Amino acid sequence: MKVKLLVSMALSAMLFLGLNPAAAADLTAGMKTVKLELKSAGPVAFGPEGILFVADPLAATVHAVATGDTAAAKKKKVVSLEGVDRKIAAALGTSPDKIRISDLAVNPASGVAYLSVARGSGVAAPAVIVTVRGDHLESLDLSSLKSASFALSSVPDAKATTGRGRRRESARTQAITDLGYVNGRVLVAGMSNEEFSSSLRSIPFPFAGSGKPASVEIYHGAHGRFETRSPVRTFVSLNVAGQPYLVAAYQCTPLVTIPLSDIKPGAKLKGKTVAELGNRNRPLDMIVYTKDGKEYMLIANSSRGIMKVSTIDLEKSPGITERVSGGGRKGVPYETIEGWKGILQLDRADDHNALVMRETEGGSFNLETLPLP
Amino acid sequence: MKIASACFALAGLLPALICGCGQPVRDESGSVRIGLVSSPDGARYFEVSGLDAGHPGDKASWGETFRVYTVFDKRSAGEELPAVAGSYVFEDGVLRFRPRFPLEPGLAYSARLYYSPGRVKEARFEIPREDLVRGTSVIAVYPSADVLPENLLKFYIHFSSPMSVGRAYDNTRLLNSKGETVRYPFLELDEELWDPTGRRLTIFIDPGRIKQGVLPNKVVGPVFKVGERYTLEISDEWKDAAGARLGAPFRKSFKVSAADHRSPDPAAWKLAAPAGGSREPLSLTFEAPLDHALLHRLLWVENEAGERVEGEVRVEAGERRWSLLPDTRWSPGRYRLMIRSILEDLAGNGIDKPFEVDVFEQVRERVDSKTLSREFTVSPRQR
Repeated sequence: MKVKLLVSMALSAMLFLGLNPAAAADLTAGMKTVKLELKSAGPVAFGPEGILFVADPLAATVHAVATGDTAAAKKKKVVSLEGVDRKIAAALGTSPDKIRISDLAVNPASGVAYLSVARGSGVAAPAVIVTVRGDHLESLDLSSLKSASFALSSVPDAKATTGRGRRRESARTQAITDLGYVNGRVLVAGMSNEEFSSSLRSIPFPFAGSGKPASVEIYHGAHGRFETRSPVRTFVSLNVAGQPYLVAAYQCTPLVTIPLSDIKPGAKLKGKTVAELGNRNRPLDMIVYTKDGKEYMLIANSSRGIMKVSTIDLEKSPGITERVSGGGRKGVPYETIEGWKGILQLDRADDHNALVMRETEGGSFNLETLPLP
Repeated sequence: MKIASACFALAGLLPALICGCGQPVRDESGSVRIGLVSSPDGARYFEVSGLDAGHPGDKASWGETFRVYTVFDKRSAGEELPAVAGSYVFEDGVLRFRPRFPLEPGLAYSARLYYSPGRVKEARFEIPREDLVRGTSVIAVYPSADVLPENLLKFYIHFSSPMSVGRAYDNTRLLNSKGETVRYPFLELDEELWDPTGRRLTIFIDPGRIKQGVLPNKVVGPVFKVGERYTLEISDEWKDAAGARLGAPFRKSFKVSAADHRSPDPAAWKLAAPAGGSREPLSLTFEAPLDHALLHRLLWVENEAGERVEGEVRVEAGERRWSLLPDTRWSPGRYRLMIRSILEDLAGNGIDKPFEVDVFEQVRERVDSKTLSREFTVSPRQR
């Protein structure tokens, strides 16, 4: 089973952007109990106050759900669950081959893991959020929770699909490859199933009723010569030289930094390439953490395992401006973490641990809490 | 209506008292039964009948008293896995459990009524398998031409029915002229790019092997070689959304021509205007094939008042021809063909900019997705 491998980054946002807890008060005040039904469930990420952001690509919407899971647990239960796919399938009354786990996010307040899951085989399969507390699994009843939703409008086919009169349903969809809460904004990265586009939206939160999201296009400058649009696979935020930055991994492996202040409506952004993650490799997920007073980034990859990068090196990096030859990777140095094999999903569990979803040799999935390297 | 009650098993002697969270429910008749029934709307639910109507217990206890488990392995109790999610109703001595999702054909469910510790009454229900009909097929692959550029960016695969999601790259292969599998040709996205109906899949060729100067292209090189023949092969192991395999494998064979780095030029398109009063198509012929999906979305016609001319769009001749068959007769007058500048050719070259821009030659600071237009006149029909 293929699974979607995306990152959540809310905690890093709060930690590294110095989010003021007072300013974060009452973020759920405008939310309503609307019997929320997901058409699909893609990437998930936590914001403050137990707010879970859920990307719903089929509905072209981002939902903010007040989980009410806000009380800081005195002793958080360590999430550990063998055969999570089998257990979720059993709870949803189906077989493991008929569920798809899209993403996971850990609520920093409670340590509870939230997984976005499709129950069924097709595109229209119902979507469910499943929680895992320790080894106890439950499906989240969204209908009783307060939520707010934001439609990702202004897709570049507005004229063709929303005009007058009869229209056939647009076949265009916007895959949402990652989302995260950063400094009072929800950032959403996506790519289209038709034109080769890249989009990064920056949506104020609480969602502004009619505010159009800032939509930017990300470009990849290959060694100063050619530039092309580059869809973002996954991103995190962190401070580089005192300024908030987005560190993004493109679908075609370069790792880039983009100043958050540059993300403005209609802007054309070119990320500074700080590393190429290697050939035949897909970046899957990233997290940022601090250990022994130093800040690091972990990058889960499809074929090159888990990479650990010092963010100091990101600050120092002059950017790759020459061709990468021979060994196939260049830019900031990284360490490959041995033993972290088969990692498909990754999030910070707390200051010292990561929660991962790992594929076993038998093809099933385990949730494991691992000490941050 | 009872629809299944196979393998009814009594796992413990039925005691006179069935405990529910400290509030005993008396089984007066001694004939408590577990059944699987269908409601008039077709939904199935499990029910425990024969309970004492006067002692429903408290709501919180129902999930403790009666649980349903999915059984993957017929030899297992099922209990080691989480119970099936759903909701309970107690009415007139009948406790009903309605699963949150429909029961799965081919699976078994263990419905378990717990009384005093260690005592359980179990009934197993097997949901019959449904006969799967292998009727789904690949109905088209675009681009449809049999010569494609070396820097081809994507394929669209159209199916006759909604497909299963998550297995696209296991079931799609690219073969070279020797019949060998080309390794890693596609951008393998975890969120497969389906349309909202699940009938059309977009597969991108790995842009890292198209873009000039990036690592994958430097190390492994491009996917295609000019002059070679390739076959896109779709396996009949691929299952549709109902679980049935495709009726047959599908192959599309094509030859590769030189890379295309030029943007499409709307001024060079041949426009054949229809006659006024007719329902003839307006037709456009392009100098090179354009993207099949985008041609349906990013080209349209407006009259002088800015109203859109409704009709059927056809894309033919290997995506070299676009035509609009109007719903009503053309009124003589001036019209505008509207073109979104993000319209692409087969290599992802947009009208607004090629797939790759050589920044030594051209630098743009902003992204402005524009709508271009080309005027044409529908003349009154000559008599």
